[in-house]
Amino acid sequence: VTGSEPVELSDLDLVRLAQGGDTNAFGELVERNRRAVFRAALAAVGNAAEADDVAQETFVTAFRKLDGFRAESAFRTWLLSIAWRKALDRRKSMVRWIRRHDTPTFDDGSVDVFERLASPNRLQDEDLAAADQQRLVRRMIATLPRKLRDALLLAGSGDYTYEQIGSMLGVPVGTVKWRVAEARRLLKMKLRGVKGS
Amino acid sequence: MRDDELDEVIDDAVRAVLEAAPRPGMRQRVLRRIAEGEPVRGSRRLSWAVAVASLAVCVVGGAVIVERQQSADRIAAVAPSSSRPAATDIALPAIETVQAADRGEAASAAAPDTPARPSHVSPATPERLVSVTSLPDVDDGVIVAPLTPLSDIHITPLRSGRVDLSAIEVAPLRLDPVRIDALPSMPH
Repeated sequence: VTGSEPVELSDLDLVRLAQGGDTNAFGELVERNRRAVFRAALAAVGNAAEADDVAQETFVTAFRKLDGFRAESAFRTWLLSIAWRKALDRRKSMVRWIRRHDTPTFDDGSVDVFERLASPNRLQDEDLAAADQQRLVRRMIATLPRKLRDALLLAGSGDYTYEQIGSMLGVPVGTVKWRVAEARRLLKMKLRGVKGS
Repeated sequence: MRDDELDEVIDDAVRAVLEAAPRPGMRQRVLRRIAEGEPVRGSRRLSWAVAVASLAVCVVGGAVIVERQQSADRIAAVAPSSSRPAATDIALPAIETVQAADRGEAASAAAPDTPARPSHVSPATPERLVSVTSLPDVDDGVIVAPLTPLSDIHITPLRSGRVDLSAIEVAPLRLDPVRIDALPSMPH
């Protein structure tokens, strides 16, 4: 498992070991997949602390369900499906919380989870104009329909294949591609409108 | 702005949204939780949901059972007495004719041992038939008897004599000659 070993075990090998009770093997699986799981959660909830919590929950749940993993798909795909379900649950509870506390919404009535919960001090070193522009685009991304936004962020992260995204979202690959293209089209249309005004 | 420039702006924004990293020590935190056997956050909520759902099922199920029991009691109370078991101390519903005569008082048409529900009877009517169906309370111990079994049904094959085919004569139909008379109104 460590770098001193000549052959690195595959995810499946580690899963077999973990199914036999080897928690160190599962720890290695956590190490390998923590970033992918975290970013999937972040794409859904838009907040790093929440995403970190979701990722942790995902791994604990995966360990408990490990006996049910039949290797019909890659371990990472299976893991990402769990992460996405947990992230959506978290997002729902966050939206409920925001609505309960009367947080302002956008004109279309959608709640700006990303804008409300994202770290506010991220842009301090950037050029002001570029920062404004990026802030604007981020705000536009936040106002996209959720299905389009999820597909755009997951695809834009570069961490997942279209097949993995399709598995997470429960839609065919073609639908994922269409959603990404549609999200981009809407964003460009809005950006052109802003630039033109 | 050109299309590729817009693409670049969008890509930058997407990267910015997802640029955060997980807190260090994820592996240790996960393994610690696994070792502690701490329940998953969602499972506790699920346990509550299951408990509440189970309670609801019990309440509804209990209500249905009580309702069915009461329905059965009512059916048993109004059923003909012939369908009841012979030896029983069940308080049967009372049906009797009341001669109110001149007493002018409301008739209580119940069996002696059975507290019947009050029936309103007009004193102005000299003679009337009052039918009061007494629904005994559940505590009275109404026994619902099984239906009287049907008598045996015997099925026997139909009996028929043998048919002698040679005795059957087959011949063409004989018709009487047809006579056609002219109608009286027709000219000759």
